[in-house]
Amino acid sequence: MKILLVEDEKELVKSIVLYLKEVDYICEVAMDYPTAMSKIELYDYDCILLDITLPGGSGLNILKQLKANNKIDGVLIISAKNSVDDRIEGLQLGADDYLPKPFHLPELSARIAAIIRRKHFDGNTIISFNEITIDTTARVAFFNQVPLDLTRKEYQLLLYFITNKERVISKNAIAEHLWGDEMDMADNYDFIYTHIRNLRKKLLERSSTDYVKSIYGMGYKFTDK
Amino acid sequence: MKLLNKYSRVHIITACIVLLISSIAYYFIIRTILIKQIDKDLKVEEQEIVDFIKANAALPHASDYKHQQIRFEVLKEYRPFRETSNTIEFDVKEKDSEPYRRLSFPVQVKGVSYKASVYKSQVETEDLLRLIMITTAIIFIVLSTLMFLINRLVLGKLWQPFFNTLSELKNFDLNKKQHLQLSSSSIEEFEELNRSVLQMTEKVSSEYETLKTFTDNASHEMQTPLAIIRSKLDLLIQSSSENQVDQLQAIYDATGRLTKLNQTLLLLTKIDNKQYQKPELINLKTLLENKFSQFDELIKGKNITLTSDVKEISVTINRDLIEILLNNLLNNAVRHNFDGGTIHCHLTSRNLSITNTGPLITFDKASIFNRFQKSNHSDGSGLGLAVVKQICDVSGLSIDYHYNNNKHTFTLMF
Repeated sequence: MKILLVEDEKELVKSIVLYLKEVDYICEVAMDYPTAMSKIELYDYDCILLDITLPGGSGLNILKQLKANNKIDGVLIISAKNSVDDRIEGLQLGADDYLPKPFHLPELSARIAAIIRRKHFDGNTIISFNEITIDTTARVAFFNQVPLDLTRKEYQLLLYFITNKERVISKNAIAEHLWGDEMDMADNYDFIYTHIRNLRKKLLERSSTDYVKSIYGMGYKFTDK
Repeated sequence: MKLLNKYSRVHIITACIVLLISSIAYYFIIRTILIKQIDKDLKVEEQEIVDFIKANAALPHASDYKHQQIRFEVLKEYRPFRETSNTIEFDVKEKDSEPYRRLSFPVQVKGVSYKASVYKSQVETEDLLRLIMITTAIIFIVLSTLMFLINRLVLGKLWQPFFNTLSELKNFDLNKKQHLQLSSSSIEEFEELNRSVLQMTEKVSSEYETLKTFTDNASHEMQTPLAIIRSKLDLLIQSSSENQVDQLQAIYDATGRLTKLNQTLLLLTKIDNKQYQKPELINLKTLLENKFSQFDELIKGKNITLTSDVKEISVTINRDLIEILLNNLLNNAVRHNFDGGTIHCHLTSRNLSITNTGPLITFDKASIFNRFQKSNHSDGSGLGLAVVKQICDVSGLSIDYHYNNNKHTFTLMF
């Protein structure tokens, strides 16, 4: 999967590239407006991560250009300017999603995966991990083709784990993914423990391998190793 | 007391005192003048009597006219005297007592001494005085009334620019970014006042604007470093060792708090800048029930009993804002609650109240909606209720806080 990252903050670029490489994306970088413009003219990407405020121009213009060129690249706006107008304008211009800074890298990876699923696997929105398959259209998870009886939160958690497989995900990132920033969950990890315990239990009823590994109590990793 | 009333009162009291004193003085002066006139007439009469005695060597007839009487009394021995006095004499014809002025002096006719007394009625004088006094009183009343009316009308009109400025100042709202509409006046003092007021409000507005821009910029600029810290942390835990866990977790949590704080500050600026405009008709009942299920986990986690009495009500408000408002109020009700406490929601056509059990707040309850105001036991950001207040302000709602029977109640009035 080929990704273009349009972002001018060097350290953030480094982090994103490093993380996305680990979850098997090929990541190209454009750190200013002209570079980004020439790259989108020359190549096709599965997903473009687009910052709005760039040296040399606005990310929204890049979005307009993409649309003018009839490109089907998925676009995820990552912006520090978390304003309602920007969000609405971006989405109206054809962006697929909007992720305000600061975000967790697993969250970014999950959003990219969702966009690529929507854009490319027309009709085929199944993702799998060993015996586990997830039908993201029907929002159902299967273990060896037998449906798993998961709650909404457990389903979200499983999808999040599989799109970030082999990576350590912090409790904070999980909390933010499950509850968003609407609820005041920052100091309350008990709810995460409960959901993870239940998901783990339901998986262990069918499988002999425990895929959910706790990493020193600060995070979790979904792995078969 | 109003300036106008105070001024009128001082004015009228002064006028009354001056007029009263002057009318008393007036009375005595006129009276003295009139009595002097009578005395002069009496003197003429005296001269006539003396002349008559000299010429005729006999007493003139004692006369008794309407306003003038002459009487003689025999004196035992002659001694010179001359006395003038006021007396009350009974007038037989008029059958009435009247005030008289009397002049007595001795005369001698053929070796017999007499005391001659000439009486002159003062009734005319009294009548004149009375007339003068009545005229004065009428003038006094007319003058006072005129003065009162003039004060009312003229002063009211003169002070009008001042009251205009005052009412403009009362309606001045920093958030509305308006300029004061001060009416110009021909009076220098008021013009100067207006100039100073304009200068001051403009300065205040610009300072306020600078402060707002600063908060806005600072919050925006904070986002990128925060994004970097977060991304580095997400990478760092991929290869962390067990002995770094506590530190990493602490950094995670602190970054989370800072992020939350930053987002809330940005939200406040956004509400301030009226970025949430489009109001729509929101079914509050449905929205509240959604929120209850959203908070279900949080509420059950603290063994809180949630009861509600909710009517079918719709209000016109921006959807994002009302959601944030309800989130914050419910978060507040859960966060500042006891384990095993209660929350009660009551929605009527007029208001929505959320009541919860919880420890007493440790600050003045009037400042509960202030930014960064929080109880000692609270570990929140201290901005939740400030956001609620701000949303109410821009949406035309009002909110109240009460504490009784160990219960906190927030009432939202539509």
